Amino acid sequence: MNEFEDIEQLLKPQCEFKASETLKQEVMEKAREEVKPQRTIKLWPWLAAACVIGFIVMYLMPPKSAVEDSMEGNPLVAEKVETTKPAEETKQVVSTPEPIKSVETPKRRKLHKKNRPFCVKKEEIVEMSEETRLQLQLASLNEDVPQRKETDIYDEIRQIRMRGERLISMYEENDK
Amino acid sequence: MSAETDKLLKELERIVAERQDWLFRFAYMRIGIREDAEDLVQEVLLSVFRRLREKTQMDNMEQYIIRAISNACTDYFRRKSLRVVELDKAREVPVGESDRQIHEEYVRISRLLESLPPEQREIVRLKCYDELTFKQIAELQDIPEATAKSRYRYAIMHLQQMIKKKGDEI
Repeated sequence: MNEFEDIEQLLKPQCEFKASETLKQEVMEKAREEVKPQRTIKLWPWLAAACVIGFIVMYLMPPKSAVEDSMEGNPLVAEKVETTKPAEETKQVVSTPEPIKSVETPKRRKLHKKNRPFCVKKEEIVEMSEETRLQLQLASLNEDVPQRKETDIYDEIRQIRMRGERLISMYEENDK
Repeated sequence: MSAETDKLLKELERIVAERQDWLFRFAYMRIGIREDAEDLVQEVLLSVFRRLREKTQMDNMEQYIIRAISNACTDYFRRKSLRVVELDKAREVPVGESDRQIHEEYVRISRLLESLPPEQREIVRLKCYDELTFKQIAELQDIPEATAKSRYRYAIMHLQQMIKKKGDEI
């Protein structure tokens, strides 16, 4: 029996086992990290929602050919297209610099750079366009006047001559 | 941090302070490498903490820790595809000056138990070195308590004979 106990004693630990000092710190740090609230932004629901919206839009949109057909057949659309044409013409006139030069326009006070507004208001744009339109109309009238004088005077002279000759010939016949 | 988590951390701190050396000895006597043994201890202690957080019913914390470290060691050998560290190789493992004593102890016990069958060897380790009761050993090994006792007796008798034989030879 003693031998049995001796062997048991022999198998018992003969020295102290110590875990390293950092082990406890590491365990506690990891535990604290696990406890920290995780702030992860979940992107997948947003992505899924965006895809669904995309599909819905694609599904509800009319086909391209149908849109084109309706545009061709619709008289309102045609009218709109026609109404827009004059505006385009005016734009073209604006682009030509000659008529503007010929017209004596009241000089606009130049704004100092510092006083210039950062952006031009819509109302000002409208005013400008009306003014320029008037100026352009005047310019066109002024241009037309000399042309008419040259042509019309010659025509009138011819007509007057013709009338005069006719009258003379008529009077001569009557006298005879 | 809430009061509840603070309480959990304090509980973990207590468990670490009480059990870390025992767990380290358990793992080291089977593995023989300090770093790996400490990794297993860390793994086990964190699993205990997770259990505490989840408020999982733990009837016996002590038994859970024993089972956890035992399973961790089994998994370690499975992962490394090693059954045991061969004794000749174990001597070659580079050991620091501070670990020399515990490494010699590991080699001494491993040499004493190497002639025993694996199941007897493990029971002797659990009884003598890890200081478990037969009841705890039986629960851990999933065997009846009587079987654990008889295996232990056979193992000690075998060792007695072996030592006698060696004494006669000398």
